[in-house]
Amino acid sequence: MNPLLTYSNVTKQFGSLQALKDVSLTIEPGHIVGLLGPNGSGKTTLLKIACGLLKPSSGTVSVCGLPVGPQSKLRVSYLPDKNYLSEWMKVSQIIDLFHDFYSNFDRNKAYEMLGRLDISPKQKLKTLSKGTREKVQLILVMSRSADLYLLDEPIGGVDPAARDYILRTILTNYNEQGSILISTHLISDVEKVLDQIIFLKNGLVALQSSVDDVRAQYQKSVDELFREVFQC
Amino acid sequence: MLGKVLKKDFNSTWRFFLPLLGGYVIAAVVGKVLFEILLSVMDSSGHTSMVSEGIAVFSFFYLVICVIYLVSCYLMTSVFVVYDFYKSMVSDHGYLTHTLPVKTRTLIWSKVLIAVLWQVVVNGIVSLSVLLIFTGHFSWLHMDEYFRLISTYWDGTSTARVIYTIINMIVESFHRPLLFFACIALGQQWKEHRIIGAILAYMGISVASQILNAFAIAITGSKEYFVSFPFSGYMIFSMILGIVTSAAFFLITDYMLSKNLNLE
Repeated sequence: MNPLLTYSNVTKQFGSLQALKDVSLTIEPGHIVGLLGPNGSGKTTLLKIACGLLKPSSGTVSVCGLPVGPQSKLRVSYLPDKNYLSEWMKVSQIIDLFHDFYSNFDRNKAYEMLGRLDISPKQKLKTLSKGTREKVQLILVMSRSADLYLLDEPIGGVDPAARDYILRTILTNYNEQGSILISTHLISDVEKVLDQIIFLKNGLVALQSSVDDVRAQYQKSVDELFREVFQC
Repeated sequence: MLGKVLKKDFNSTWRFFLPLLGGYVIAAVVGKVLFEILLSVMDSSGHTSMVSEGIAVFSFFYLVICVIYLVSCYLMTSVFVVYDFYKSMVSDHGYLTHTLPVKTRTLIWSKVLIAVLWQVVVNGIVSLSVLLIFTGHFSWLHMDEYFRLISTYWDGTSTARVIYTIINMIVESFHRPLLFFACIALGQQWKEHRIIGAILAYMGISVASQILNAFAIAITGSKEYFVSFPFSGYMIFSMILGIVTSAAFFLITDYMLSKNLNLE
């Protein structure tokens, strides 16, 4: 089976800081992968390189065998850890925009999800709370039938009830032939949905394994292993 | 795909320009009314009341403000074009722009074409408003006489000059936004203080342009627009320089945003 995402010897340098150090890894189709590491370990950098928002200092990245570019971007649905939508826009205008650009965007699915949350498509983003805006972004991302979902801290900074909603939305809406790469440091919340994990430590891949193998080999939960590997 | 990007960019810019231009049209109509009052007061030599003098003074200052508004329309056009490019290409909104399945050069083309469109609209509305205010008061503004005057002096040289002027205006309307875009893209290469980086890039390019201009004047020996017939060497050089630098700015912006994009 061809990998969905391949990093080959990827290094990213920010001035004197090396954010990623010779990272090589692959993501196969049909998995929910946790990209786990403390703040500053390089998780966001790794995701942004796959989306084309950052260029690696060296090494190559491919998505579905394609170099990062317009064709690969059609296959990747990316949720950044910041608000990337214009606040003057109405929710319906943003949906139209996604529908215009992404052939795999399901407009009906988006309206359905908005309806379940009582978010009016006529509302402007600036009238919505921060939490609701984040939910709108998640709905846009999960309304695409993408090959690869790259979710950067989707449950960071939200209350436990919202975390449950977010995880439920992700699990019930993603394209099951594709894969999800979730970056987070809130391990206990996502552990139950992951089937693979990648530990990133100081820009290096410290571990890539299936969750079942972690439990069998270390006799620990992913959360416990994380605390052991990343203890201060 | 260019059509979709143009639609997106038009939607995000018209809300800046509509109030600016709407306000200007209203100001010009009021200006016309006050201008007529001002002239009628001036015509009634010696028989003016305090009230009419007051209206005349008010009308005069209002027209001065209209002129300031007119100048600010041109300035704000550049400000809005730069703001929109910065916001959608290298700030947080760039996370959406650069994850769309679109080539970087298509994004840049769209920004340039939208910038040109608004320059044309602003120029058109400002020109019409000036005509509106002065029409009927200066004989040279009566269009039939104006065209007769032109046709009297019209010859092959004039045609060439008009063509040159039109091409020069087109080149300039592409050149200015592309210069700003290239500066922002160059400033984005800085790890921090990217706006300062863009300003320094602008200053550097401006100095280089001045040096090239001085060089061109020295070589061609003339900067006279209306004296040399049909064209001075400088005019030709200046137009070619405008085209070449516009292309260079486009390529710099494309290279920086497609090969060296570093959204923080």
